Amino acid sequence: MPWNWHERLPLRLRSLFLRSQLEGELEEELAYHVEQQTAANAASGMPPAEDRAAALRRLGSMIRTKEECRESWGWRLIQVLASDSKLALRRLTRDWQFSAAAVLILALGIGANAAVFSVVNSFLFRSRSFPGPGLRVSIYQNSGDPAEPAGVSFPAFRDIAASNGPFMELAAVLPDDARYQGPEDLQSVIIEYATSGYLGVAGSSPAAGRWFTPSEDLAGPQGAAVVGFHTWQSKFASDGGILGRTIRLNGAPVTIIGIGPRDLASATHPTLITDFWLSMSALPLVEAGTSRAGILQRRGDLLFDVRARLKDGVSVEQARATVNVVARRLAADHPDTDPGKGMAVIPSDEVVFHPGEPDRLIALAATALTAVVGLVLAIACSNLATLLLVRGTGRASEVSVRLAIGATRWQLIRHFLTESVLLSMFGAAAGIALAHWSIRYISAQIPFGSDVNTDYRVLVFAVLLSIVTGIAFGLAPALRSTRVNLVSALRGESGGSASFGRGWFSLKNALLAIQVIGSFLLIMSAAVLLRAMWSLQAQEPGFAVQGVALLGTNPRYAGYTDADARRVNQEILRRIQTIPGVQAIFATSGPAVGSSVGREIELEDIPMAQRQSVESAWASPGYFETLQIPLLSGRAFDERDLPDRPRVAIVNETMARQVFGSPNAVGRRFRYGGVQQSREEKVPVEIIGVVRDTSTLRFTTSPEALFYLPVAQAGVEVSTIGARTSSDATSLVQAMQREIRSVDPALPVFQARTMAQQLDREQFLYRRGMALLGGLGAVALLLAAVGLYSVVRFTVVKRAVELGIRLALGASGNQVVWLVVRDVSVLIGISISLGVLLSIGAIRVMKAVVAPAPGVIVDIRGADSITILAVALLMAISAGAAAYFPARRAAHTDPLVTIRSL
Amino acid sequence: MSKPVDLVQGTLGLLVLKIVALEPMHGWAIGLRLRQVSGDVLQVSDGSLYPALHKLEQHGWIRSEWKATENNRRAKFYSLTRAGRRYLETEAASWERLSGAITAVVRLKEI
Repeated sequence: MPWNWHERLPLRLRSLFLRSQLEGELEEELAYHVEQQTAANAASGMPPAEDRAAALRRLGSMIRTKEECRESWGWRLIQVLASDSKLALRRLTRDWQFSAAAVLILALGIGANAAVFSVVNSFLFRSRSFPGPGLRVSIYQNSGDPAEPAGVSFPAFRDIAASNGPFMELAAVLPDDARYQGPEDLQSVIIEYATSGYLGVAGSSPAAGRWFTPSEDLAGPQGAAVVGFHTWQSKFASDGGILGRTIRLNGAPVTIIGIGPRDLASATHPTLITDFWLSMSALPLVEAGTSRAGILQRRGDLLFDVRARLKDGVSVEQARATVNVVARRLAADHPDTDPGKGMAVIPSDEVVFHPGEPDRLIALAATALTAVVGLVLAIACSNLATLLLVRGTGRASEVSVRLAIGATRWQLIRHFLTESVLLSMFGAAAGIALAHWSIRYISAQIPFGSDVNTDYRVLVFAVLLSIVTGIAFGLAPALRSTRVNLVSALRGESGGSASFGRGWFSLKNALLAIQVIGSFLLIMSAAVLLRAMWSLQAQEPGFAVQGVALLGTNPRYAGYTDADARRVNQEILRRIQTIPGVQAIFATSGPAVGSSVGREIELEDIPMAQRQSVESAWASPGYFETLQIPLLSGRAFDERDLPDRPRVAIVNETMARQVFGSPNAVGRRFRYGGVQQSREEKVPVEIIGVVRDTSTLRFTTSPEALFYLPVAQAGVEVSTIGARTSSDATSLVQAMQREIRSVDPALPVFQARTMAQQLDREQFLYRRGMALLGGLGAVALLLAAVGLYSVVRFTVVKRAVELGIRLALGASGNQVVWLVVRDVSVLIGISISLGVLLSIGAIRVMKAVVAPAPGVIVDIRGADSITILAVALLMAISAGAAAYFPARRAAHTDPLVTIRSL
Repeated sequence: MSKPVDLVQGTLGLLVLKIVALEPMHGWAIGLRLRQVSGDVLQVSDGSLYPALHKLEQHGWIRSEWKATENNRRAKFYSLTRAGRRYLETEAASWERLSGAITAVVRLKEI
């Protein structure tokens, strides 16, 4: 602002808001001038009839004088902008088909991108900076392959803590889910068992109350809980008097001692929102009756995440050296239970979830998704560019008329520009709305309280890119059109520039080809992934899904003792058995399918055999019958397999073959235990049966070796009841809930769903990821179809005059239609052929990229040629339709009308 | 009388400021004074005078005021602001330098 802004500002404001007053004053000022001049003229002896006219003549054009005065008032730009926008809006509404296509393309491009990228970003790229000095590192114990570090056992964590290493703060964390007894019902919540150093590592402090003390890091009689800030707000209505209150988690009482930091959802995992942090002293109480109850003492259970904040100035290498000393001592002191493969210290920035395969998979998925998203944006922009270019060339005659009646070149360019910017802004607004809506939708779909926020950087980037595209390609035709030869354009000669016949290597044809090829590649990639997903769904789970209902309950949560709980469970089972239609039932622990525990086994009869890692699951009498898993040899579990009877196991056929080398392993013996447990600590079992393989639900293609243990002998409590009916599973779920309530209304039901719903949950991430990709594929297909159709249609419509002349000269309607379709076919045909070639290459690359993560994404089978063919056909039909219909219409109109319409 | 001289680009503002600096004046009087002072050498069309006045006002160099004239008619009087006076001084100085230089060059040619 110049120095005398205090003089100028009131004037400026006046000219903006008191415009009519200003106009009146101008009028009066000029009128006064004319009056004075008239008087002067009369005084100089002019005849009375002429004096006023002469005065007016001296002033020149009154209108122009006024306009020039107004111009000096400033703000003219705003007024011009307003009138330009009005004009542009009118033109856009007149061409509503074009406008709708452009806005749709932009909305999809911007919206889909921002949404997908926001989701990916919250999993992968969100950098978490924790306040306070020192590097943050994660520590892992290596159990097998050093590239795949495991967690840390709790005793090993205590050894690291006692090592006097260069740690300012050190914490062990174990995320889990639990059941919180709310005022009305049992709710599933996210918990993290954490030690006293947890908040120190995060550089944070509780919002109220206190955090855990070192004395609470040991098993003790009392469990302490810190409620997460968000949970405090949502579940406890921000009640300040919550401290000291006792709540029940998994039926065990824990005392709330603090409220978590306002800005910390979890210090370990970027997307986790922890409802409750629990002290280690709470772990044996809350996990009572599960396999985790004793993990604080077990060196073989490498389950804890260990995070540390290094002392200021200490490097990762120095920390590594200390930790390696601890690792060597552990290996020497506990040869039976310690893996003895050392420990890994990794800067926490380099870890997303867990180093090794999980992080590699996330990175792979994120890269694929980001690449697809980028392509969608590129397609959207190229679509928009082509549309604008084609539309621009079609406006040569409009431009000529306007130039002829006196518009300046700058005015024309301004009008075109306003139109493009307006269009981009509409598209951007629709895109932002779409992004916002879909992010909310996706967040709501993620079951484990995840924190997904709109990534505004990407949103801004996409919006800017679209506006730049709009301006660049909206302006190019404006610049070119304003240079047209007035006369020839008025005669309609420039209309021919849109013809396919001339200038094969025109910008428009190149754009069209790039668009076809790009869309083709994108759709192919999405289609291949979708086929992979489809083949997963088509994969047989290997157990009954139809008619199976699953119910989670635990009488202990209602205050029953262990002995009473068993009695109540038997009563529940007896009653469910009597529900009409029920064919078989079972009662087991944990999820009935898709969940297994890694065990190490040693063969009983081959003493020196190598230790092997095999998965195990729990089963019970009725389990295989209910789930219709065929028994290949031996017997299933029955009521006799109790703790005081010989220990038994059932293996699947893969385990029988891989471990025992024969499909019939009945009678063979092995020992199982936690990873790295000594031979004596392991439990000896005898195989009583072999069953068919089932799907692991983990998207590996090859079946895994798995053995089943009877719940009654495994020392875990029953928490899941399953039943199969000959009728509808949904009504069985309700009937089962009624039966449980009839036994005791206080009994909790924390899970009630059909097997189909359970499967959906188990495969949630994979399916949603695929759905996301599929959605993007659909967006791409839509974009490609909309773009291709509108561009081809536009070019054909542009040829109406040429077609009219041909018709007038005697061409038949069919000849004309054929001409247009042929031209389009050649161009699209070449583009599609190029697209096919590139897609084949792209599929090869995709397979090569997927290959390093074996067995994770279902292999992309060879039948891709069908997919390629289908996509090629679709594009050809889209382009063909866009060429055929307008051409036929042109052929059926009177040629004279067409020619004159110019 | 020789033909009236066209104004050098941008000098109209300087002339108007100088005239208004003497006393507040309305548009018609400014035009009249301009012709009188320059002995009809400088011809300013009435059509370009008003835009120039409005521009100067927007720049904050002159301010306007509605006042009664000697024959009791309402007219818009323009007067110089402090910023306008400063501007006039610098502009007048630079004009003198410029015209002096041009004069010198022109005379050089005559010798």
